[in-house]
Amino acid sequence: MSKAATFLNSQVGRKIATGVTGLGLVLFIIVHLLGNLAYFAGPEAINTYSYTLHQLGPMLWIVRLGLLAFFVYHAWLGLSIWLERRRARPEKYEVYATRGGASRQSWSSNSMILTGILLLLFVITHLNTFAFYDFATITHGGVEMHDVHARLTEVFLHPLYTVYYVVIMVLLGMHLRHGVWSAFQSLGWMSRKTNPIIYSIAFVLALIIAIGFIGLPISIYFQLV
Amino acid sequence: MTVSNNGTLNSRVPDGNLQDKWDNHKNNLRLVNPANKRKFTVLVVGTGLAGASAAASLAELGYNVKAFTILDSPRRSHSIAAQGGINAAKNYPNDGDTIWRLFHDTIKGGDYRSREANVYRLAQVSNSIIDQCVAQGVPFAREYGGLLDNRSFGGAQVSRTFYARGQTGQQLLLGAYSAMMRQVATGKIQMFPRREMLDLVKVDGKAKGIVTRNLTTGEIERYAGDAVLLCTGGYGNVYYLSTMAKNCNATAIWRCYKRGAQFGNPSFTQIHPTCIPVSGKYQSKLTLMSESLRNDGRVWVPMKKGDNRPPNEIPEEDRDYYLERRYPSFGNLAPRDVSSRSAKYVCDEGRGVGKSGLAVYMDFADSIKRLGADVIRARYGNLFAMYEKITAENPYEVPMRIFPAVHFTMGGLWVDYNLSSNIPGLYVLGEANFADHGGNRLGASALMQGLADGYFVIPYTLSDYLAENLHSEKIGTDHEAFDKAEKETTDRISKLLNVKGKKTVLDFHRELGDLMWDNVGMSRNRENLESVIKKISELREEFWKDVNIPGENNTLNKYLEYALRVADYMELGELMARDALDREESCGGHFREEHQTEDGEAVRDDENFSNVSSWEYKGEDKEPEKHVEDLNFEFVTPTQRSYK
Amino acid sequence: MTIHLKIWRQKDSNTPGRLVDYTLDDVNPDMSFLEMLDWLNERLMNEGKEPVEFDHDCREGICGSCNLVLNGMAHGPYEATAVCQLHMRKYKDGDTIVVEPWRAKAFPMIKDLVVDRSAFDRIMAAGGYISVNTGAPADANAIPVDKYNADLAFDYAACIGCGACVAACPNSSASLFTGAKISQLAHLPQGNPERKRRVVRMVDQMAEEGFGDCSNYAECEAVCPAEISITSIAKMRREYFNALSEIE
Repeated sequence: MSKAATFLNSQVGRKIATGVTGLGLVLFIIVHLLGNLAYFAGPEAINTYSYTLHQLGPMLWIVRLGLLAFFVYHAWLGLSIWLERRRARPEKYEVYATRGGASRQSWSSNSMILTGILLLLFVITHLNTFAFYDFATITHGGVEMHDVHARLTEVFLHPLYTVYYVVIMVLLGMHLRHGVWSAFQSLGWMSRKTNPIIYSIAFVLALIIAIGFIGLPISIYFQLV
Repeated sequence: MTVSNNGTLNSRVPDGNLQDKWDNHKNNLRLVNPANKRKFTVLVVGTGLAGASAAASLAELGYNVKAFTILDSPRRSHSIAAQGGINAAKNYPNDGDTIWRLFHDTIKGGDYRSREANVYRLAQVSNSIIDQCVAQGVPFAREYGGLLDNRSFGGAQVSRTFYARGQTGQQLLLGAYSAMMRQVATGKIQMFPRREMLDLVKVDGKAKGIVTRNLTTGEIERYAGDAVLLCTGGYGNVYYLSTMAKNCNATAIWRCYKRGAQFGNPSFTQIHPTCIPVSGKYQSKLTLMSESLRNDGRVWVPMKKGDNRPPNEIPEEDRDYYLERRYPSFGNLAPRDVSSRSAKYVCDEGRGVGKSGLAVYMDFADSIKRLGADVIRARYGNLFAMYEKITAENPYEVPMRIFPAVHFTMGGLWVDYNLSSNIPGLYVLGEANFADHGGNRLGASALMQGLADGYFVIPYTLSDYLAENLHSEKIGTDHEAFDKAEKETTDRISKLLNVKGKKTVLDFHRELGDLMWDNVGMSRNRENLESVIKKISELREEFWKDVNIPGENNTLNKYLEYALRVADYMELGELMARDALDREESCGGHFREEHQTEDGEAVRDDENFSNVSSWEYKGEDKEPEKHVEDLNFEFVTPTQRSYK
Repeated sequence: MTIHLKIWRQKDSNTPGRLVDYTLDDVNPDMSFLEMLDWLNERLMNEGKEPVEFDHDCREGICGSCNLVLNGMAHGPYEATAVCQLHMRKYKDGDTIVVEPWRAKAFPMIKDLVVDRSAFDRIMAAGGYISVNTGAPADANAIPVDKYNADLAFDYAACIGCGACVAACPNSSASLFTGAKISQLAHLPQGNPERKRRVVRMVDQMAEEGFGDCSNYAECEAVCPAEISITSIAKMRREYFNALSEIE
């Protein structure tokens, strides 16, 4: 056990752990996004999807707890690395600039801690809005289930919440733009050749996820579905 | 001037066949048993190739090593800047190389002014160096089959040069440095960075310690040891401008000289023909362009004086390809000393090019036409890029401008076959000693010598001395000899700081450099040498009256360090001029105008000068005394070099 | 040309430093940046002022001594260029240049622009070597190394140890420096038996020296005068992961 602790406390171990938890969360996000897309298929699809998930029972809770652990650990690592950075350079530069070129400093990588914290706060409100919400029920094919569809429609017809959600999803895209590439680098899955490829794929993936998540509220708000 | 051969110079060359000398010698050298090794402390001053390899090897054997460098890390020592490669007689290409050939090329290249036995040993251990470096992880160039690649270099007829792109010195030094850091981790080496050795401490005639200045705090520190190894490199910076790093200096060897160590062949300086020319007064150092460029570059100047047309507008018939003209058989590949001197002649005639008139063209146009720009790029791309970075000119389109620059000093403290100076316990390794290159060093041989001395010679020869001193009394740093050395050092520093004159150290160094370059440079004559000795001594007097050193002693103060070094250059420069004046012949890099053939070629005088001039300090305001070590050529016959 | 300089002056680590303005009106475009500082220092000395201390040695980009941050960029604005190889012709007449030292807790201040980089030596001492004593290793050609790996090893071995990677890193991480040495040795068959021990010890030492974590900003690669790729950092992480058995 102490071996694992030493590993996870080392600079390399912390990065590997950040990468593993980060990729885990990305997987979750993708699944979540696919779930969201069920909304477009009509009330029955998304409600059934939600119902099926809930039928998993204890399995669902294991997944939820796992996700929570990943999330908390990921956030804690990010925070501690950020705090470490302040300690490692007690006297700041009077002028600091990036050289460009090979540098991956960007609006995305430089705001990881900020986007990360905002995402953390968002998730808390998000759980409150949906996961812990006392849903109305509806019957599809003789089975009574939560009417997730109605709740979504209700929430995203509210302009403020929609704007808030869209902004957060843009931030998520930013976080993933650096995060996904960075995870591969952290896990050592990188060579000189794959470096630019993975960097581009990360961009596309971040874009797809952000657009995917934004698509739903926008569609609902403008009553496109 | 007194000349004597009073027996102080025993070269200790062992008897026997050239091939057997080193082995026989090793058989006879005394050993120190492992339990006793840890009772000895060895002080290693300088951590370039020679110092780092010696420190690591001795620590591995079990000696306690204290290593000192003026830099912040041993990895920055100037060995790191060597580009070309390192020679060894491996004969991997099967082109007929042997230890004998490497020996013979080296001694001939040195114009027969080095010791046969030393040079042969150098060639003998050259192969072990390559084995050692490869085992350390030095990434030498390899062929697709995974075996080591060789290239030809410096006029040799075989390919015996191992290389790591254009950064061979860097990779070899990092290898030696890593071996050293491994011993730092074991505690057998104690590293002292940012320390400058300012004096040698002798007790009963033996080297027993050093006095250093901590360059960060200004503190004068004392270190006692059973032997002192000087691995402090060459003294080319006497000339102000050279290809040496800014911190390379002569202070450690000069302080030892003043404590009685003799200085061998101080005037033997190598001036490398292909450097980027000086561009202005502010210039702080010169950059070498690898000699390999001469394989494809043609060297020329305009036929007529004052022809200011851009080079590409000067037609063929108005160009003088002077190397090809003077040396038809070697052409642009004439040896370093010959090429350098020829460039000087054409510039002296007023045919030099560039703003200063102190440059010649090295033109790749013909090669580009013949081979295409891509081939040239593949061969020299990094060098062309470096040239463009410095000069903002594109050598694919405009001929390079080059000029000779001081590059290496063959002279140095005199050592015997064991690398011991005439002070027992004081050993001198690498470029700091005078030993193996005679009057002219061949390309890719400096790295070989530094590592040979450190890895494969000193571990054997030092044990012989230490074994003899096993029972001698340990000297502590509270010994009065330390008091005296420290006081003299402190006094010297305060004296300098108290001059509070008007001229900066740079002013003085530049003036000294001009004097040295003009009079003790590529071409020397009696009249100039006699007058420059006087001028240097006047400049020295002025220095001690009018130098302006800023700041204080008790902090980092690079101009104080610099001033202490320039003070020593002022004295060393004079000795170099004296030696050049005394050596009435032309050999290797030492060219005396009085000794040349009708068409300007060097004339050696083997009758009178087949020897080493070794100079002994006799005191302030006294002329040094010259001792002579005769060079006996038992195995090779000196011949006149000709490149016609 | 005229150049305005704002240079960090600091007496020692206990005294706070500040930027001091200097103007040079006779800068020659062919001067290197360091030659311009020499020029400034000569002037300061002639005026009876203390010159600016800065580290420098070979002035041809290989020793790694020079360490200046110019307008916020380690070694200045040009890629693959140490500050000693940067010439003033790259600047415009009237430009202002802010000159600062490397800043990191692991590189303590000595004076002005000079800092202590001995932390790098200690990382090397922790394992940046192949344990082979001087003596008689096997013939150099007894261990073939395929050209691909030999060339890669060289790419990583080209590190000049200047510390620009640390200076430019927003986190002050030494991962590029450490990763380069680990990668060089990991691509060679020599030293394979100690490869796990090496990476664990070097990574531990890096943290112990007070360097920050790596957040994959890759700024280090952008400023590296030897153009070391961050692939070396990825390699270091793989090596570390594979060395789990060596971790205590």
